[in-house]
Parts: sequence; structure tokens; C-alpha cells
Amino acid sequence: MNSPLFIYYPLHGDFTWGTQVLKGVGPPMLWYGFLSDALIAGAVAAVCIPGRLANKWLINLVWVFPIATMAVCIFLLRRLFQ
Amino acid sequence: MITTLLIIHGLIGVALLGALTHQAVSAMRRPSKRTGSFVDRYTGVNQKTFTATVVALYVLGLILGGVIYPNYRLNVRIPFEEMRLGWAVGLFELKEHFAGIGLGVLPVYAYSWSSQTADRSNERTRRILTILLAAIVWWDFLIGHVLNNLRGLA
Repeated sequence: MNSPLFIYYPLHGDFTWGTQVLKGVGPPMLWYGFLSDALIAGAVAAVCIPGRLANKWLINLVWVFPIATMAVCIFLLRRLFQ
Repeated sequence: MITTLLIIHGLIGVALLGALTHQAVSAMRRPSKRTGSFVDRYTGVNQKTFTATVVALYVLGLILGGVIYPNYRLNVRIPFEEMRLGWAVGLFELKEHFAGIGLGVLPVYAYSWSSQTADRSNERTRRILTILLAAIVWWDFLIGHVLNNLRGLA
């Protein structure tokens, strides 16, 4: 699940590609990498999914994906609230 | 500078709340005879006109949030961890992930309100997506305020 495209280290402005967290460069930030992953996945889906399928079927069910993703986020972060 | 950006980020959030809440409440409203009451006027807005504004404000707010985020990571989250406020860290994690999910919803939301598709066949999807975006923006706004009250940006 933790697979950002890149990691940003705000203390000195460093970047690393992939999921390897560097030591000694300050706290990592994965959010930008996650957004980049989502952008790529969305672009691929927009190109690959036929318009006919999207307009006829997916448009009525598309709301399921964000709600399910939000539920997964809450489940994965539950340990922080214990 | 960061404080100025944070204030602008908050003001954009307020404007976004207004636009999305109007649109969501109006979308949930059942067609009925107008009485001129406050509720009637509040929900009787032209729903489609809000769409472009919502998209623009959401993207702008997200960009500003992205600019401010490193400062939060260094000057707010680390003190939260040192104070063992795991719930505060968790709330912000949910805020940032929900904001990203909302960004993904925006194109479908805009498409569902566009003139070609704003007919009754997509009404349920349109209503759900609008309510979902409104819920995300309300959540992000309130959590941002609570956490800023706990410890503000330097």
C-alpha cells in the first residue's frame, strides 16, 4: 500500500524515487508521491476505458470508488486513534 | 508568508464550503412549490452555476495546502508525535487523503453537471458526488481548524 512515486524530504528539499526512505535527511513526505500515483492511474484509466462503457455503466457506479477508498483509509489509520 | 498562505487557504475553504453546501442542499431538495422562505431561497439556487467555481476553488485550495504542507510536516506533526497526540496526526492524515480523493472525484463531478449529462438519468450520481465533495470539504475545513488551534504553523 505504501508505494509513492517519489518521496520528498522537506528539511533540506531532497527527493528520492520509489519507496526507499533515506535516513538522516529529516522526516519524509509521501503525499505528493501518492497524488502522482493517482494522477498516472487516472490518466491510464481515462485512456483505456472505452467511452461507451464509461457513459453507460460506470457513471452510475463511480461514486462507490471514492467512498470505498475513504473507508479503507479510515481502516488503515485506525491504530492512530487507539 | 506561511501564515498569509494559511489564511488564504482558510478563506478559500470558506468560499468552497458556501458554494458546495448550497449546491448539495439544493441537489437534495425535492421539487416543491416555492414559498419564499429562507430554506426555499437557500436551496433554490441554480445548481449548475456553482460547478466551475467549486472546481477552481478546490484546485486552488489544494495547491495552497500543498505549499503549506512541508511547514506542517516539520513544525506541527513532529510536536504532535512528541506529545503523543496520535489522534491529531491521524486526523490530518485523513484530511490529506480525503482531499486527494476529492481531487479525483472533481472531473466526474464536473462531467455529471455538464450540460450534456445534466439530465435525470445521472441525477443520483450527480447528487451523491456533490454531497460527497461537500462532506470532504467540511471535514477538511473543520479538521484544519481544530489542528491549527492545537498547534499553529510557525
